Amino acid sequence: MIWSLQSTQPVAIRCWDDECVLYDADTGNTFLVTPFAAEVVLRLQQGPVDLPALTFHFAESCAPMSPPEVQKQLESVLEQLQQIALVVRSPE
Amino acid sequence: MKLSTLSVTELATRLKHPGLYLQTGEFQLCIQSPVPALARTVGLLYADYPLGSADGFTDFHVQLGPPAGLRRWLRPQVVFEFDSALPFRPLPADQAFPMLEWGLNWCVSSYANLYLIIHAAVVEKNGFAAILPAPPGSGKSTLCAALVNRGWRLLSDELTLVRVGDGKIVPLPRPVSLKNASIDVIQAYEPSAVFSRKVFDTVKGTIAHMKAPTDSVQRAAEVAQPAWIVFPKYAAGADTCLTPISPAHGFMRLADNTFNYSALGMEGFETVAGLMDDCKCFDFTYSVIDEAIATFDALTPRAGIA
Repeated sequence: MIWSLQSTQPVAIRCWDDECVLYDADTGNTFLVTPFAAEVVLRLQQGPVDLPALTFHFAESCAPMSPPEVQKQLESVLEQLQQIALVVRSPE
Repeated sequence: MKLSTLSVTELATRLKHPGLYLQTGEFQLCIQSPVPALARTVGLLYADYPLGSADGFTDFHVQLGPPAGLRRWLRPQVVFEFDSALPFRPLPADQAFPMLEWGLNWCVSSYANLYLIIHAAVVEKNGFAAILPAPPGSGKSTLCAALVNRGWRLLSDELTLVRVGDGKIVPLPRPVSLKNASIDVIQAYEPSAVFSRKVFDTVKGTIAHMKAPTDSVQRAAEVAQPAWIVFPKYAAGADTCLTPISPAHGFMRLADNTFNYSALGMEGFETVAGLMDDCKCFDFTYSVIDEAIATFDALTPRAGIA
């Protein structure tokens, strides 16, 4: 499965301490998100990616979490971002 | 030339025709009305405002007068007309001045999209502005009226205009609208404050408007640096309590109190984000006005803003 941003326009993100706000110019919606979710969105802004590649991307910055733990976190975040229609999952 | 230089007769004549041209903050208004009571209240509360000119650009042309038909003779009413449209239903004639104020707020909040417009009072001291966003009934205007009678400059009682681009607050000092018990509270708190007469049975209850301080009107061209966003809440008997809010939560709550965040799109997002960079955010509960004033006087700006 490939994950990508649903928005066709750039998503703006601003973070303060351990909280971020994210603006989806496509829909005009603004969301309160975690810095990790914001990082995921920023990575997807570079292009569609599958879960293993995303896990690899975040493995180093999420140390000492193990790759399976990172993947679990990513699955949870992607699910939440999908629920607010920011990301979309599609077959490879 | 200020409005106070006009006699009552001259003011009433101008209001009838060709209209009273008045500068309020960045906006030039043209008000036309044959309602005598409106002339008296405008003369009282707008005495310090500069007269505008029919030759210059006028932002908002508004008219208040009786509706057409027999109704004008049975139970007199007044309608608010803006650019030949009637955006509101008629109100009883004695509500002409509140209707003018509500209508002018509507004009600004609907059309002034050079600014991020927040439903908030805003006051300034020593160059730094405190924005007070809040829903009706929160004690926002009461607190605002008290602050401007104790050394804070009135930038606006109802509409905070944040300039898109540099984030400065552009003043729009107009009469402060007070409701119900707040009227007597502020009249007792500052007996020298000038008020319109009370208007009863409006959709908001009893309304009276307090004249904006002369100094605030004279400094209406002086923008201010936002430094605090304070969400006020009056609660009878409550202790005075100032509680910090995180910038991200402050962002979401402030955006909820804007008129045109969505319409401004990315500029709206960046403008609110800029406010969060510059301002400290708080929830504020109060019941004793002097304690509230002391709390505001003790606020310090975020380091590095100017």
